[in-house]
Amino acid sequence: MEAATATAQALRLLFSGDEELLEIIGVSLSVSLSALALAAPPALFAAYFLACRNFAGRRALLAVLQSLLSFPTVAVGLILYLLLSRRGVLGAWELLFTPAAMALGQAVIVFPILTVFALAALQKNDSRARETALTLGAGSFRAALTEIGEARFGVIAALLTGFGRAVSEVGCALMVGGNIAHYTRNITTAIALETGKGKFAEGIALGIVLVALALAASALLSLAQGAGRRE
Amino acid sequence: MNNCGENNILLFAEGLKKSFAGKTVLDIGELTVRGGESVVLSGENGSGKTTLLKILAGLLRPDSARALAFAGCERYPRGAPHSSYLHQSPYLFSASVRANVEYGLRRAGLPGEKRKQKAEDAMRWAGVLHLASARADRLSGGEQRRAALARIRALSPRLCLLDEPLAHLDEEGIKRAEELIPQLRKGGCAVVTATHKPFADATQQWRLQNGKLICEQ
Ligand SMILES: Nc1ncnc2c1ncn2[C@@H]1O[C@H](COP(=O)(O)OP(=O)(O)OP(=O)(O)O)[C@@H](O)[C@H]1O
Ligand SMILES: [Mg+2]
Repeated sequence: MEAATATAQALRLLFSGDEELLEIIGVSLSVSLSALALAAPPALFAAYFLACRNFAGRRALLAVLQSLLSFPTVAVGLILYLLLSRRGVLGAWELLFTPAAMALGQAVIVFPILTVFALAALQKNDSRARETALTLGAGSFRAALTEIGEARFGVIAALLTGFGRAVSEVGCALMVGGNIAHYTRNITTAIALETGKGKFAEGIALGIVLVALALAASALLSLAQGAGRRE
Repeated sequence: MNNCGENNILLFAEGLKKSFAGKTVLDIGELTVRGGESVVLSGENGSGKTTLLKILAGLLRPDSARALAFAGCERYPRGAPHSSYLHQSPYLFSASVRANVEYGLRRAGLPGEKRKQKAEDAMRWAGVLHLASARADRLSGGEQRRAALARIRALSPRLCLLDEPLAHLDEEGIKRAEELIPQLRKGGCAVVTATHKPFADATQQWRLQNGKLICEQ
């Protein structure tokens, strides 16, 4: 019975546009999108390099990236915490317990996902794509952009997968964000820590939003994959 | 190499060697292409025509070359449409035909109006203007080849390397492709065409046989 009332209250909170909830959702979105923006350019170029260059250690690098796909987020958080803490190597940046630190952590988490998925997409590219770009007067950088453009549906799929992972991770956000109200409290840390303090309705409301975000990302993902297949 | 410009030499290569998996595909003594020339490159299937054109286009590195110079530049120029290579089966970017034809013009930094005009002229010439907004990678084989010819024609590169440009074309398409060569030459460009069909007005005939290039003027 209590769950039912809490759920009803959660829906009421959601539809009334509760300010605190919106703020928390806003933190989640801005942190995860920043993480994606931070990680995407280096990840795309890493993927491009892995796709078209054959260098010593390429296979080893791929194996490392592959194993990083399932690296525990709380471990990323722990490492980043140690680096960012006052006596850490990056302590001077004074980033610990800020949204920036959370974005940095999520960027680290999504980097291997973006790289591996984008690499899979780029490897499907025709080698004539690059040759055609070069022979029409493109420089190496422009040719790389063109190749990434040719694999755009796979790249979009990579970004959506990365977003889904970033927005739903809790370990790292908790470690380096600290769940500070009105500042670093995002959906996952709020659910993890506030529900236990009796905020059932808020927890359920945020859970609904999180699931909706994840579902939306995977719906878009299958849309992108479908569009990619129809190519 | 400094007198290249005076002799109007666009392309000069000496001692070109290329092998795949221990099998020598090319072992070429010397070749020269001057501005305004039309070179016909023939040879059996697998004789190395595509390999040679890709090396001349700067897309493939030879195993060794005593000299490989483009218009006197020892390093192959990149970034400007000095030379253009048309694949044996052309690749069209997954975008509209117009975007494909404008791709090279954009890279050359042509401003919008001029670019549009040139692209339109080239598409009209190749008979693909009615397909301008169609997705290029979904066209038929012959339409793709026409679009690829338009893309090269819009660019008028100094050296055109065409790999069997007549394959898959209907009569009208063949006529267009055959027109392209004299039109490009008129502008001082040189054209090297790999083909099994002899051209009447070729200035050089190259034949690849067992890796050697037999040249006839
Ligand atoms: N990337 C490659 N790896 C291994 N072998 C190759 C490669 N590219 C070409 N070859 C070989 O080199 C030889 C020459 O190939 P090439 O494509 O240049 O022939 P071609 O004269 O263009 O033939 P066609 O008339 O069929 O187009 C062939 O025996 C081919 O198998
Ligand atoms: Mg060939």
